[in-house]
Amino acid sequence: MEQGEGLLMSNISKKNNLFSVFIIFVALVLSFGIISIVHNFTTKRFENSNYIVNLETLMKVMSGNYEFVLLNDSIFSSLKQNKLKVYKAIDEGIIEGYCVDITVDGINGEINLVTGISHSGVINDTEILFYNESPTFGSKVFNDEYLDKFKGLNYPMEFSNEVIGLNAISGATITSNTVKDALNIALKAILLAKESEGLN
Amino acid sequence: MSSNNKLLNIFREGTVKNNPVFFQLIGLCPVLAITISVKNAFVMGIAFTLVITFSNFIISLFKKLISAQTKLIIYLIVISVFVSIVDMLLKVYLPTVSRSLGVFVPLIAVNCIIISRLDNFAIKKNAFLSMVDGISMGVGFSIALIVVAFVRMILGTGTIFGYNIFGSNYKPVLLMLSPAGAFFTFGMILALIQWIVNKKEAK
Repeated sequence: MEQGEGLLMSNISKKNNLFSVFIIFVALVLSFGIISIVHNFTTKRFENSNYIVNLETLMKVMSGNYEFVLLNDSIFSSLKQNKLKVYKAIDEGIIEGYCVDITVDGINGEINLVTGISHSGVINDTEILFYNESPTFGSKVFNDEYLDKFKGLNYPMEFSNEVIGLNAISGATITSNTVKDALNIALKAILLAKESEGLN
Repeated sequence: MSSNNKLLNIFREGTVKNNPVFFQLIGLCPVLAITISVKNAFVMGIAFTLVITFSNFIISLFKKLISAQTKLIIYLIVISVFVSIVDMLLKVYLPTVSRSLGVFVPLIAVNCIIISRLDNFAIKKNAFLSMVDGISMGVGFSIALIVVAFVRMILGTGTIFGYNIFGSNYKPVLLMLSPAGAFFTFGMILALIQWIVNKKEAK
């Protein structure tokens, strides 16, 4: 009698275990399905919204409606920058300049900026797309007054405070230097881009 | 107790009496990390509220199918689905805030407030009450985030939503914007709340 009860209990426990495994399996399949549907829905929109933001920004920093062509990453491998994109700005088949989209590390996370550089090698305009610095530091560096100081600067040049007449901004020295360094890398990238196209 | 009173009680529990952050002191990681701006705090609060509400609802709806041995796995699967959805939607519709919140949105998946509510409330009560509990906990969490962010922004920058509160002579307390400032602010708010509670109890 006791043996029979034991066997019955073991069968029930086996059934329960199988049922639990089945429930987990169903939950996983459903989760996979739901996440896939949302992923499909959002991926396209994500790419579109990124493209629109980029195109608008590229046109702004180049001050004109150009056709923008993304250059191959391998050209800039010597700069050792993972988050660097360089676009050619073309008007009726002629290269009018370049746009550099670069992300560098600030104090509190990434700083993403886009700068437009004319074909003659002059910084046209710079836009800060994203930063995570504290508002106090950020507002000192990420404003037009500071960024405008870089306008019209040629390359290649050293971005020392003396050369461009900038004093270190108190309370935001690291952040302001990060922006200067990023622009310096952007200028180097344009040199490489022109070299690769035999324009130097 | 009438059903209206019951709902009001559940809501009051989550938002005030048993606020997960100020009274239970759980789920503190995002409270200290992302409260550098009120906008971040607000969006994080909404994301958290959505995840906890829908997770509570789903777990409560299927509670009879969930055994004691597997409940934790099911909780994590359900929470992860909603966190993934919220994360993907944030990336599309609020990309800047999403980048600013960084890893703290995916980390909602392991937030102990959600797991504790699923285990203590949703698995025992009906779906509607569980949803109300989720909303109340979410609102309570959001209030805590916004209050901490508000204090940090005012003291750390002297401004709120672009308005200068203390005038141009105010020198911002930069410490308040650092992680140490987050602990400091949180401690001050906790002390103030305890002072109010003690005063009420003494009466």
